[in-house]
Amino acid sequence: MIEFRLQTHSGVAPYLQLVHQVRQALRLGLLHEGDQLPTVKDVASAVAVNPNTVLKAYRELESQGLVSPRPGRGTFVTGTLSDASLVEHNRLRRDLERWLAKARLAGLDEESIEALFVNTFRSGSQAESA
Amino acid sequence: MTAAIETAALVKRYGKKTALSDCTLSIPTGHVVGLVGPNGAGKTTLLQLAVGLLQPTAGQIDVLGHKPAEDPAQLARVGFVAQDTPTLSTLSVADHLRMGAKLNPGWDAYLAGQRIEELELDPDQRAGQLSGGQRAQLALTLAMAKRPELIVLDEPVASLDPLARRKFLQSLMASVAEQQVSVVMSSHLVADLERVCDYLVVLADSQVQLSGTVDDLLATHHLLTGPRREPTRWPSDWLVIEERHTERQTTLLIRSSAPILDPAWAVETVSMEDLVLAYMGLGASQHRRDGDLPGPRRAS
Amino acid sequence: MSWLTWRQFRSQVWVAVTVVAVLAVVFAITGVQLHHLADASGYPGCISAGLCHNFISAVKTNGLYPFLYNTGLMMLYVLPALIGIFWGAPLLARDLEAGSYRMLWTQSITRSRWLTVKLLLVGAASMITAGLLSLIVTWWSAPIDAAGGLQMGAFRLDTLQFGSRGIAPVGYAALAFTLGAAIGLLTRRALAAMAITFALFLAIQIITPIWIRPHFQAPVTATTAIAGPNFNIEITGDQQMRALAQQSPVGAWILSDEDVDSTGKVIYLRATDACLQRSPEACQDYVLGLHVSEKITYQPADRFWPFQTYETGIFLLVSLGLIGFSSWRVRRIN
Repeated sequence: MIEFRLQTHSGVAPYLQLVHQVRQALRLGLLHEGDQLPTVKDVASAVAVNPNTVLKAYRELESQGLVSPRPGRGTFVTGTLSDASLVEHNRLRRDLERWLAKARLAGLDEESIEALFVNTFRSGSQAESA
Repeated sequence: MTAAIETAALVKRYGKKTALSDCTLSIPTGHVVGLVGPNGAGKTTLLQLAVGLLQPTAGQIDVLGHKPAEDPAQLARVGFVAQDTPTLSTLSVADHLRMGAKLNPGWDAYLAGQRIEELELDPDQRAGQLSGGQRAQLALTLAMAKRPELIVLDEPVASLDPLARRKFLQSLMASVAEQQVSVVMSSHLVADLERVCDYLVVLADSQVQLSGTVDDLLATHHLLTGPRREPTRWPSDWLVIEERHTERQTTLLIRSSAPILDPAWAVETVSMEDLVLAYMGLGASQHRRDGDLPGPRRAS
Repeated sequence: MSWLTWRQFRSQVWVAVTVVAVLAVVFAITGVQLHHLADASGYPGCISAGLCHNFISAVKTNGLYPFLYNTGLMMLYVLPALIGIFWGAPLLARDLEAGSYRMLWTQSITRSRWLTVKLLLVGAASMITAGLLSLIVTWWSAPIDAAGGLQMGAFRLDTLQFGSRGIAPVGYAALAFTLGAAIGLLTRRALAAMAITFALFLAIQIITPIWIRPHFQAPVTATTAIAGPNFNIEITGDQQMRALAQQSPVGAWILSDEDVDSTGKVIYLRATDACLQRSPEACQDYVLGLHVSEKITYQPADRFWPFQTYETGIFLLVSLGLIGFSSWRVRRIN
């Protein structure tokens, strides 16, 4: 069973944090197809979060095809993120390591590397959504 | 659908002091509503009007479609936890539950007993000897076990330590999930409200400055940063809440339902805290409502 | 709401029950002995003649009886005041002061009901307590009262005795209680309400016998001319004296006893040397020459129960008025 947590000053909407955590768990293989997600009430009381937020997160996951509700029983994992991508993880990680080495060679310190990465990542995802 | 709380031109004065002026507001049911505002903005006044502890000086207020506290049936539909969570200090925890059972026809003894057990409160302990957090939990139990449709909380966690605060909010959220009860709570702690509320009302300067679901509010407010521009020449569908200019840069907090297309602006989403601070500032800086949107002046 | 009222009030009830029980035992034991003593001293035959000296002397030989007589008298003045201060004043003020009214008034009962149940239950307890105590004290003191009290001049209708006998204490308790409650509702501070209740109730206890009770019914006046040889001279002070021609009516509440001249004007007799030097004939002639009469104004003994009914009735009406005021006021607490 997955355990949720919320970061208050992260700037990410609480429901998105829940979605990300489920996706992360799927990606890392902590959740498998057929696993049950905690009930809305359990999440609400464990995390002290509005039940509507949990519902919204579960609906979002549902629309992504990752979970589906079974009436009277709860919400179950029906999709997967890990299988395909886990294989790729190692290759991508090696690419990233090579890129990081290049960046250090170019004289960037840790902070600059992080800022560059975040900036590029943001503008990329904004261009995607626009 | 009837509103949880609906007010029309509501006014409350204490002698010459105006606590609430011309307050018009409609809060739908089914939400956890956060009521924020600076001290003395009229939050407690509004909540006490809603539960019938106060009577309006002018205007009207309906709660779940009825006058507050008009009869026992209406009282049974609304639960209230007052500021500083008063209890009867000489009565034990068990006595409080017994009182709740005697005074409320819809009393849920099972729920009450279960909550007291979960909270590990000693039934024989006098309420006067409970810690602030325990007393708040007892008051919440009383309000919850009467099985109201709406529960009104006035700064329930203000005096609690972080752990007690978290526990209080956890049990509040559990109850909301279980009982489908609407909640209206005032608080200063935006971080808490960010977790538990899906509807926000900002009260400042004894008036409503902002009211809406959190999703809508966050989706329609944007923080824009760009090269310095002369003020007062903003697009007509922008509502400028806050503007700051330096020699080179202009920063705006705007409300607009249309997407921001001008590439010169760097657009950032806002947090609930940004919104709360900006609208609380509006009350302080003497801005007045203009048109149908509360708070700031509409840019022309 | 009755349960809650009982729960909040029960310790006071136990105190009241204990106090009343202890007093009942003490007064019952000594009361039986007192009544035996009265029977042995020619009571009640002595009453009509106004000659119960033997009985009163016997009562005074045992210090316990005068003590209990005075205690009973005092108790029934103190008790209603205590009820007003400790039961009435904090009844509503404490919840208002502590803020717990915000919890209580948002349960599924209206604040009017909260008020009504509290007032009726605790009010009834107040009246029962005062009634029981009055019953005990009235019974115990009956023989001494009938003889005119320890000084042989104050019957149960007299200023001090009246308020601690019969049903009057019930009215006093009801008034003190509702007064305290109403003041508590106004001040919203228990301590202030207690102080104000004490002061106001004390004023009521003083004003009622002096200015109100004498006017329940027009007093009876008896005037006897000092004409024959059967009158007494009483030196009342330096150079002052009274001429007395009649017996005081038995059991009456004497409002005034004066010498008047032939026009009905009050006159004060100057004690002449003859009278001061105990020369009876000369003094008698002097007084007869003045043509004075002794005028007594009084409420006769048989008005005891009508007066009890009036006073209690008035107090109960005022109490009802205070309850009405309180229930009007509680709806306007903002």
